Amino acid sequence: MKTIFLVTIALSLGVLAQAQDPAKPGKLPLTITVFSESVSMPNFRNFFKHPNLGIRIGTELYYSRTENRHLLQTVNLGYYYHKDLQNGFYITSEFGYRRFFNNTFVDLTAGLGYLLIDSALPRYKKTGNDYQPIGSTFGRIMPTLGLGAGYKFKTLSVFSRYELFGEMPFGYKGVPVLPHKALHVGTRFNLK
Amino acid sequence: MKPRIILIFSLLLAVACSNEVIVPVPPMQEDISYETHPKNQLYETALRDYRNATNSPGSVLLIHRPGEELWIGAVGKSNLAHNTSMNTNSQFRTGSVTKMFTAVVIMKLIEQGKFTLEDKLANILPTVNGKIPEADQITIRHLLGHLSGIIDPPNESLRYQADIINNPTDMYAMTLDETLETYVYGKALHFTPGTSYSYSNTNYWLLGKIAERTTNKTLQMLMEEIILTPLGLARTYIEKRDDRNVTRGYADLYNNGILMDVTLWDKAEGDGEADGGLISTAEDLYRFMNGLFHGELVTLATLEEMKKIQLPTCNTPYCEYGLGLEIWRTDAGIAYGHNGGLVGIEANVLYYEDTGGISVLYKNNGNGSDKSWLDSLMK
Repeated sequence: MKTIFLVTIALSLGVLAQAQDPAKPGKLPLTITVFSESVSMPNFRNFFKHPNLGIRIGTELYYSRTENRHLLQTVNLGYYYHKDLQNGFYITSEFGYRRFFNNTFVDLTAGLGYLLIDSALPRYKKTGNDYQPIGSTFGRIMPTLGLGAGYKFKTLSVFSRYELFGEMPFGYKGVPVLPHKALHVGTRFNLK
Repeated sequence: MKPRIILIFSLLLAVACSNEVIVPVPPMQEDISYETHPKNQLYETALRDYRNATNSPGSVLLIHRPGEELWIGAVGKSNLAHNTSMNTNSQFRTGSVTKMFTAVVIMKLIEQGKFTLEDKLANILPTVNGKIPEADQITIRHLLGHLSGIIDPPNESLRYQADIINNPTDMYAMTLDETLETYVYGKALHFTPGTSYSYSNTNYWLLGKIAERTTNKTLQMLMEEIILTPLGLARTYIEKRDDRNVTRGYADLYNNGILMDVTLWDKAEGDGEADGGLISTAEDLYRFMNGLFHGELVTLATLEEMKKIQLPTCNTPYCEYGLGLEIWRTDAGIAYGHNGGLVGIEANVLYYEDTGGISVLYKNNGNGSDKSWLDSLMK
């Protein structure tokens, strides 16, 4: 899993290097969202019933940018607290397409990341004939898919974003991915 | 601005909420040794092999063969957090073994004239009318024998399974009516009632509801009256209780050999429910099977009805199911009983018709397992 983490970091740095913004050098947008997370099949249920809260901070760079559309790459750090299941820390990078309709926009992102899980469920490893407790943290690959919509003001944007992400490999009863969903609300603005 | 945000984020990570599930300390439990049994070595070796082969923290085996003294063995741990040894009196969740107990309650109520096997769900439980299709065609027999066609959320609904992982505390607190409303009502049947077989936990949820509604008693009270008190099963119950004395369940969720304590999920799925909520011991389950198959709980005529394959057109082992009884074709002959599984446990109870033997097998890892090795011990 350390390898996955290092590969994710390397890829993130790589895509940042590739996705330079020739139009506005030196301007680095900062994205901050808070979100409600659940383990769930894709749906819109129960975001607000006993929400598991998280925060995500990231930036994005652009492969191309016109008045009406952006092709972009994000890099994000996030954390969520899921009661009785896990704390999740993650780094992700997503490829995205954003379309503007005047000041309103929608975007679609897909990406991959590394999820560091701090499990709430005690873990045990077999040693000889016995089982010994082991540490609560372990890593997983984190595929993501997001659909967002927002409004651009003069100096910042506000938006909401529906995200599906997985932790894989999972494996119980042959299920390869444990699916999560998250509903984000956030803002994006430029850092000097 | 940027350093400030990084600082805030770093602080958040540093104070990330402590989330570990607290495992209560279990009380001491009395253990009985069967070391003087003539076949102790043989049985214990088989049990140890089973525990190792299934990557289970602990396992319990009971063997009763006519002409031989009862033998019970326990190996490994019942609670890894507190290094508690499994013992011959350890209480454990039994999963779908519960269905035999629920079926006995229903058959006893039928003997008492409360309703009949052919009574319709729509008449006996009018609240499901319009919510379960063809409720006016589904009979008590269809429910007991899994011939109703009603869907089975624990095995078919990814939403149900995800909800247990997502919030086991909420699932544990859900009433049966809420469960039915959320996962069952309004869903189409798999087939016309009575024409095919499809195992469904919902059938037993509804049977529990029927038993309670027609008697104005809880399922716990009914089990006490009909089964537990007559047979003296002091370590068996179905109601939700403090479970610190109950064996904990484990599962290899990530298929990497690491076991995780999934007791919260097992509680959420099973506790209190007529399909899989029974908590018992190996000896109590043996006494139940002995009582059932010797006519102490229901009449022998009722027992014969329970043993019959209910689907007339059944021609595969898959559909060989009676009224709350699985029918196993083993190398030791036909056996009646039930297997039970939750995420973190597996239980199996069988009565071997040819020999009159009874086996009870339990392990606290919820993966399925090969139990054919039991046949040679039970011949």
